[in-house]
Amino acid sequence: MNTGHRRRWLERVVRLCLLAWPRRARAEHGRDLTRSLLEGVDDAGGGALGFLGRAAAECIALAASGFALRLDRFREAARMWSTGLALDMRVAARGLRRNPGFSLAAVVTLAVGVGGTGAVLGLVDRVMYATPPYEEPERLALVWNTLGGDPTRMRVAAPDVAVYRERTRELAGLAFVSRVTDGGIQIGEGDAVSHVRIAAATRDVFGVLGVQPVLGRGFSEQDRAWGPPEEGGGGEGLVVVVSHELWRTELGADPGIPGSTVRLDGRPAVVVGVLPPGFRLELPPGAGVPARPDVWVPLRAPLSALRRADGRLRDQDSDNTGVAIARLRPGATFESAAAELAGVAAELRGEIPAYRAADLRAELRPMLEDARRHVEGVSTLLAAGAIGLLLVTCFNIATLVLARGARRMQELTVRLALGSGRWGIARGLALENALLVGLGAAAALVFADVSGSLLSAVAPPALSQLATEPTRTARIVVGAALAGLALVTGLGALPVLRLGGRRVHSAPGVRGRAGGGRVRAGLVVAQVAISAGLMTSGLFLLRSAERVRGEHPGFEAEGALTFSLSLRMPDRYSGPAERARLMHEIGTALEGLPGVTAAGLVGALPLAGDRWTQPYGLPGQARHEWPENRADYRVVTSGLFEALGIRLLEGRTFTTEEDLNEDDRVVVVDERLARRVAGSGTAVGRSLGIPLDGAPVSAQIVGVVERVRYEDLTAFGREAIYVPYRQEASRDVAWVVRSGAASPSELDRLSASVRSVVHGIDPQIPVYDVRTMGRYVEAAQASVRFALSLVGAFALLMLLAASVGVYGIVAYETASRERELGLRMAVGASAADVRALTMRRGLQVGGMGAAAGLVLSGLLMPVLVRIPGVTTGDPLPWLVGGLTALAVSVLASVWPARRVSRLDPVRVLGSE
Amino acid sequence: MGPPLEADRDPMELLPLTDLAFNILVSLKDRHRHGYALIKELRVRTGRRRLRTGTVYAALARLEEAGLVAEVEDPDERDDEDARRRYYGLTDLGVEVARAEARRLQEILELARSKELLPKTGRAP
Repeated sequence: MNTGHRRRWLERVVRLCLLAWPRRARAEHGRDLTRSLLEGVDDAGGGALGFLGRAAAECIALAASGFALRLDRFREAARMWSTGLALDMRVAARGLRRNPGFSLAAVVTLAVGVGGTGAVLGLVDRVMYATPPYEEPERLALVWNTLGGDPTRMRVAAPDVAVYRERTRELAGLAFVSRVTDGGIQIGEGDAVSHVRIAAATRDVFGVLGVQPVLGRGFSEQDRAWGPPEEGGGGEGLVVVVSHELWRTELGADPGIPGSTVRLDGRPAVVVGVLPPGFRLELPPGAGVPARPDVWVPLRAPLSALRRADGRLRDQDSDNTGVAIARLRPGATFESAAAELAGVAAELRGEIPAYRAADLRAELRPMLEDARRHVEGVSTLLAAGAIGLLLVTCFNIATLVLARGARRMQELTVRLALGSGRWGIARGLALENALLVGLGAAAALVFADVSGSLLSAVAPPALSQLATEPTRTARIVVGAALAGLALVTGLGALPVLRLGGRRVHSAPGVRGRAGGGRVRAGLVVAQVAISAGLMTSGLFLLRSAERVRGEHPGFEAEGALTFSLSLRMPDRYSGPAERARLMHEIGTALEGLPGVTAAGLVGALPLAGDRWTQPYGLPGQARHEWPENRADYRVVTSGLFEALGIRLLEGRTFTTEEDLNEDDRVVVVDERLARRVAGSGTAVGRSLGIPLDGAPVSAQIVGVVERVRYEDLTAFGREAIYVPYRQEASRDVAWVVRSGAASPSELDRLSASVRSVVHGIDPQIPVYDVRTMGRYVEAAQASVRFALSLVGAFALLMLLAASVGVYGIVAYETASRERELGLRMAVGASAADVRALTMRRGLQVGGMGAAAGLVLSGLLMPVLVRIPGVTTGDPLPWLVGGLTALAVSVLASVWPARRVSRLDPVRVLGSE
Repeated sequence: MGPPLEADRDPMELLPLTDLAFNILVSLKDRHRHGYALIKELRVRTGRRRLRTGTVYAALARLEEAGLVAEVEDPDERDDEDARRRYYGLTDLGVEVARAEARRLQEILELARSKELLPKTGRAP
């Protein structure tokens, strides 16, 4: 290759490398540079290899310096741009400051609307959609029994679980947690006995749930079973797994706890594991198994051995019923598993006559769905309210921004005429709006944070106990809303671009109606509609709460103090007679306390979420016909009716003798059961078949009492049968003490007295859950009341926002029609005529909004009726909701109407 | 005389200069040069024999953009062959900036001398 050839090649490569240079520098220096470079390479001389090396080094340096120059330019451009933006921002901030009322209103609206929505959605999200700390919780299911057509779910029986485990293929595991019992735990010799809730479960329970203990281990197949001493359980080598909370509070958060021994109900037990913090069972209320047991013990096994020899239905109701938790096999669906389980239940009906008679069926439901169904109604309503608030906020801001843009048309047109660029003005406006939304967003974040923690603090246990961990969905929703708002407000700058070539005096906003009027009116109608809809829903809630509060629950909560105790010590109170004597002694001592008028015990308190359902036999019914009739059994002592304030309607209640004497087969029934027994006649003196200790006996009805709302304040449950405690002396009972104590200090004194009464008789008996009956009533009302106050607050806020919207649109439209109205007045229209014209607009917008709002609340009804106590046939909420929205709209147009009626026609026309 | 006056910018804003930029300004102080001549002089004076053409031109482009260097029309020595070359010269701002940079370096040198990093040689009166 000769020298000329080489030079030509190098020249091409240099030209290529020059492409790395910015265009302008390339144009200015390119040619000169190429020449200098070629000369330099030539002048250095040397052979072909030297030429090649130098040429390569030069070309690389050339390209690199070109990139460096480009980077310079880029940095400079970025600096210029950010300086320009800062300038624009300053201008935008000045624009906002110039109109402080508008800016403040917009920022506060955004803070409350968007922030409040975020807080409520956050709560709902945590309640409804938080994932519990199980492995693949969406593959877990709960198994329940139902009896022929009755939708009430019943706990399944342990021996049936053994059958389900054996005969199903779609389930990877089926764990069983028996009804939780109360007990006492003692950490060291001589320490006080603390009350704990004990759950007995199959050894695979933690495996099925997919939960790993944080310390130690779960259960293993070698672990000894737990059980009441009289049934042969217990002995040495018992193990327990404890909750994180118990480990922290009672066991001193000792990391070396696995392997140490505690005393559970007086028996030594080795703590082998500690569960993760916050671990809870996701169960629906009424499952009879509290969500957070303190202590877990292995269930006595095998499950199938728990079946009674005769396979009687009694198994359904005894202590060996509980909750069955299933994990689906990979590839199985809830439908396939449910179908298979139904088949097994059919087989069982074929094998066990009592099951066939009762038409016992098995149901399988997704665990999370089942556990959260009871809060679904309230949660959905809250979410709907929150989203309604968000929409109203967005519409409100959009209306404000649009109206403001229209008002500023004149100023903008002038600026345009003076030579400002359209894009520049639009960018300025968009930036101003974006700044507004940005400020609003910051305020909303603060508001959401503060009100979010406030909400969690005041939320009723039904909601807050489910709320486990914060999630991000709410933040995403609110973020999206803010982005949408930013977009809307950015679009608010678009009308400027439309101004185009119009001349100044013909610009909209100077005369006549501005464009976009329909959009604004539509937004205001939507605001009125959403607030009317939500208010109607809120009124339905209010009516239900009123109804619940207004109705007598069947007992007198006021003046009743309650506490629970449990007798699970191995060495004492093992026989029913012994327990009855102890309770009699406690009852006598309690009645001896100053101020106490009555004291009685009951197996399960009203509204405490526990029940004991059993069949019974009407007079003349054979034993095999019994399962058709099912009643809630309550074991009580003679003082209970007076202590709880349950009114006697007929006959008598129990006597002290019946508290102690086993041979007195007597019962008290409620009025519904009395009617079933005797129709309109008297039930007193008739006999009733009841299963006592598994065997059918005939008991005489001695009294009839009024019905009690045991399950829920909004509805009566099954009929109730009261049995003397001596007949079925359970180990866990609740005491009710009636006294005149009302003030907190009096109640504190009484609480201390009842504790010392029990501990004076036996210091080893754990006394717990000391609280007034009123607390149970409050808790039962809490969810509805909470939803009510939130929805009420939402409805008020929205109504306020909507009224501002109506005012804004009427005032704006009136202002832009001033000339026309002035003309009308000049040719003889009275002030009243003009006022009516203006008010008509408010009525029009409000009427349309209210009508749409009623349709909206109609759409919400299917959700509303899921809330206990809400009835659809109530006309009042519709009427009040619709009329209020209308009235507020009319009121909001009063001010602009007054203003317009004071117009001076001469001035208006003269100003043109 | 040099090229026309640059706008009244504060020379101090542009300091410190890179080593190469300062050397270019110094080279162009007494006479205008074209790019290749400048490169050759810089290679000799700074001892950087591998100073690349692209590097020097990029520096020239930056200096020109900052208004320290400008293309000049009338070179001292001109013949036909050089007619198509671009000649560069300092602007007034360029002179100011070069002077300011020289002073800055001198202050550093004096500081170095006072700390005996350099011998205390006699200074020009």
